Amino acid sequence: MEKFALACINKRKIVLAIVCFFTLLLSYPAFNIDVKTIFEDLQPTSHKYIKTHEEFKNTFGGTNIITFMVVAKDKDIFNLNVLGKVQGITQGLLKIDAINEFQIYSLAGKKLKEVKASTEGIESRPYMWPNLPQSEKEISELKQAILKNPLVYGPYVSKDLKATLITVDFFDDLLNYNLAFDQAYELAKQFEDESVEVSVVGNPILYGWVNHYLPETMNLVLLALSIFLVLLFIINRTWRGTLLPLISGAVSAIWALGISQLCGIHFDPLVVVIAMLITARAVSHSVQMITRFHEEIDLLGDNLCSKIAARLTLKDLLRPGLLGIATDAGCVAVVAISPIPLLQKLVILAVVWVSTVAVSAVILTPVLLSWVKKPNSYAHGLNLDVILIRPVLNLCVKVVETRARYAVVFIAVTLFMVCGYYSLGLKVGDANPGSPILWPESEYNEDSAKINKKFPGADRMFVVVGGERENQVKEVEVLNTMLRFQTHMEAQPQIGGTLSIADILPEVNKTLREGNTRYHELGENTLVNGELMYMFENAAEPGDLDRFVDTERRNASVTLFFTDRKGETIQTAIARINQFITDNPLVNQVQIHLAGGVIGVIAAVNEVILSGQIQSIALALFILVIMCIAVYRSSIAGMFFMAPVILSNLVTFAFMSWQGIGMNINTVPVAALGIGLGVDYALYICDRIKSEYEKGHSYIESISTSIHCAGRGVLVTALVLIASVCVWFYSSLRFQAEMGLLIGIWLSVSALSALFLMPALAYIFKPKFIFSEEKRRPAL
Amino acid sequence: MYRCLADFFLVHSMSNNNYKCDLPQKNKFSISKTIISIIPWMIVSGLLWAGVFVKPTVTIEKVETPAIEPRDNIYGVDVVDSENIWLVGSYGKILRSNDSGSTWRLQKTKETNHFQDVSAWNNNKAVSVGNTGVVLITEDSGETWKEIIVPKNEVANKLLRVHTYINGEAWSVGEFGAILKTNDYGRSWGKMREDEDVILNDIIKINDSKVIAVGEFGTILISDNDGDSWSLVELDFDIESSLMAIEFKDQFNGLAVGLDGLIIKTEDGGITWQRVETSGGKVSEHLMDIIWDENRNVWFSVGNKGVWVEIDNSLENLKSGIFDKMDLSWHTEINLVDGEYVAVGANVGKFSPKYNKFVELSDKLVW
Repeated sequence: MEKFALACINKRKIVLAIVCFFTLLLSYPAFNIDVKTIFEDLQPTSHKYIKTHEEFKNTFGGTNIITFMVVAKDKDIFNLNVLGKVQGITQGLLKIDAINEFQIYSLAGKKLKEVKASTEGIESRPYMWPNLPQSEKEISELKQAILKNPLVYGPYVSKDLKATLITVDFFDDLLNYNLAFDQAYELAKQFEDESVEVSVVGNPILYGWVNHYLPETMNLVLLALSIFLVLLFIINRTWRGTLLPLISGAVSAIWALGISQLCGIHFDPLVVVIAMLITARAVSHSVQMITRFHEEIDLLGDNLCSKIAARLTLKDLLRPGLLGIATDAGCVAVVAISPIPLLQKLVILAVVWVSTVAVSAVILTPVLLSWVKKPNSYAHGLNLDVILIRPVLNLCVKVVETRARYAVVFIAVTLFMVCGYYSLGLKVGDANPGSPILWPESEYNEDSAKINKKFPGADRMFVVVGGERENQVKEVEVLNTMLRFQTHMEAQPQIGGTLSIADILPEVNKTLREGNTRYHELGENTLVNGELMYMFENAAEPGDLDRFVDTERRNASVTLFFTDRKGETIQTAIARINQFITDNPLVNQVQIHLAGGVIGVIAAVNEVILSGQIQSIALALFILVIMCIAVYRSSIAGMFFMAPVILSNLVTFAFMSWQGIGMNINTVPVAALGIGLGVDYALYICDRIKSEYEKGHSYIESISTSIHCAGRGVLVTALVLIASVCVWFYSSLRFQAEMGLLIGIWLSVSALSALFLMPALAYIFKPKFIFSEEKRRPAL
Repeated sequence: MYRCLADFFLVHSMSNNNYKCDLPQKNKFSISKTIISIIPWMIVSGLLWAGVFVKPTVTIEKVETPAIEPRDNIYGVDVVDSENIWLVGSYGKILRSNDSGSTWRLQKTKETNHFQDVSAWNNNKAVSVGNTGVVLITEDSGETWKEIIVPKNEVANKLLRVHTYINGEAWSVGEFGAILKTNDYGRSWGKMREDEDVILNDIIKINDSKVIAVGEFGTILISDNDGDSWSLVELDFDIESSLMAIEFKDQFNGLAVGLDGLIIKTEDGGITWQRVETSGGKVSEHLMDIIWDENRNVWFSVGNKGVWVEIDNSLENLKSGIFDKMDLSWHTEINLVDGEYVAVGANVGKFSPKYNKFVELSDKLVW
């Protein structure tokens, strides 16, 4: 290490040139990185649900559906004004880019039809396409026709007749969320007035909102950066103490973003908080370097000794610095086991980013410091060291010296047990109805709540009932199984309703029997059902049955409408589907395949996260322990450094559980990063205690020096970062605010345990890997 | 790491070497040292094991299935007395309430056909009929149901209604002109008429010998000799709609209702019939069932889209309404319980004519 440190400082110009060269080289791709969210990236491609979803999404319903709800403010929707607006929105949909015009369902569209008996059999005609009803009589007839059709009255026209839905699906590969978001809202606003209210929901809208808040997100990043710089300037009182950490953060950001862009990885605005977290680590390492440099230069007491001070700093901090970075990268890399592309891409970004910190903070900062002279004066007179920092650090030392150290351990153990208990309540998946990305009072979540109040549910899942043979879904046993399945599923309160071809055939049958409701049932045998389906098809247009059955009648869909996306709701539904499959193994060689649609995809994601939850945490801890054991050559070291990591994560998990924040795809990387990053502070403190003890200092002296030097760096970075993380509370994206809060808590617990708990533990247990007698010089 | 492992083994060898020198002290030392050395490795292997093998279990919310499920179609109802009610419906469902309909208990059978109607002789004995000519009887309040084989034809055998009378007698009608009769509480059934391509929807026995059946296209069949022979009633007006139900308040005065709001009356025991012309207006919805409410002195009928029709004793005034304007569920049958009406169909509910209020007996969505 000494050789490496010497080489870096001696060839500092070359090192600097190389860093500058790569920074310049990567600047262009870094600034041109794609900032976007792709819902498909959430899909764990190898999961069986996703395979079903991909196979049938184009006909049975994809994930990118936009739902418009038109609500009449007076009476009901059955007047020319409101119906005209429904028609206007339906026609306006055709102007939205990337829509699948064969998947528009609206009273004013071609797909929703009235089925009637006539002298020639069954006749079906659209409710109000191409023309609106012209008179009060025709409006009344329209109303009666809708009331009669349970496939429309309920799913597309609300029970109180005050609202109607218009849904549209998109071609996934052509969809641009921003464009769809803008065009959909423009359309909605165009028709909204004092007589009607239009609500809009759907994945393209949700991710459109995330992108909509991108400028705000950028402003918050800038604000956080400003707060961070100002605080650093106030505390460090030197320009170098302010600018060098900034340079470290900037260099690693440019390298990471540039490399990601070159690897074809886009930047998801939802992970901006994680990006900040990693940048924070770069800054943290840099501040440690500067603090140590000041200390060394103070000891040397000569302006000409900058190079020596920088070399000593680099030599001493290289081990904890690199170990910290290696554990960070190792722990976060574990997340890549997950088959979710978003997480895999995020892991590449995070690992690259964390690794760049090794250059930008651990090497570049001392190299730059080697040109810096000892400060003759400070940039301002406010000395927070005296007022705040030193008293806190003195308190830390005092705690270790006195019996209060036992109190600290006792508090930590209590916290460990209490938070451990509460952590068990942590939910997988979204813990609240509505989207957890946005605030409950956001326009999107309010619209979503309104739609779920009026209709059976805006979010859908489809399961495929099918087999190998053609015309299999016409068989009476298969159709009966579908109906029994639907009955079984509707017992769950959060499933507002279900829909399948087995709902249509009884309607056709009843219509053929003069509307006699005693014949509201499937045909008695396969032949009759085949005829019923044929009659419906004959009356309909080609493709009208596509959302229910495929053209060969091999596979049929059952669509389930969910009133919320909560993890528990989806888990319960999946478990109930599996229970039904177990109870009904094979009906005429027909199988039930899970699961497509938005809820199907979320179910797959939640299952992957759930099964990977323990895996990623256990393996991240495993990597941490192994690295500590390898570096300190002591098995005790692995255990010792687990303490702050487990504590900070348990506190964070308990807080998530208490606040109802679910462990979902957005929070998993934060948790894994937390394990790796949680150990950094402790590593610096313990490493310094070790090196001081090796110099011949006593236990307390070593601990005191470490707390006042490395501990200062910990306290300063923690204070500055916690303050700058606070700006995220004001984000319009609830997810960012919550992540900001979690990182704030996690930073606080890590810093406090590094400052109070670790020195206390070190003093009480005196582990050999810290207090080694082998290399110790005689006592001073 | 290697050094660590070496330390671990060294501890063992040292402890062995020192064993002879100072047994109690060194032995104690070596054990604690060994334990301390082992623990980290146990944790490491525990983590690896957890990472590879441990899969968390999922907590599933318990879903209570209601007795009357949202998708159930309850086609038939019979009220034994003010407390005991039987319901039958789709996929072989039979429900029994012993508390006037507040709670329901599922009576299990192996039947998967839809039941269309149920009728009870008393609290213990009842018969249920349905699709494909299925007939089940019980003699123990529904604890067990026994299937009875009845005469069938080769075309269509759905039985639509059944009515029980004293001394174990019951009549049932259905598809292909089927009229079946039992005199022994349903244990055996006889065919009372030759097959004919007409659906008979309801039947009533109004005195010891006179039985009237109604059905498709305004068909009215009458028998004056307890079903031995049947004659078709000739109407002096055209009916295109099917008659769905028939009810008499005494031996002479009766009403029949049918599709498209059809209501006809007889005042001579079913020999002649006229359309009911009332001052209160007309109903165009399908009417599926009718009862005579002696206490209120009115006829009460139900049908599609949640509609109800009330006609006074004089047959001059007709009132109609919808049970629940937000729920236009269809109903196939109605019965009286303690001055309130139990209507069954796409949902099951009680209608209080006094308060003009309909209370659903289960939460239900119409799909």
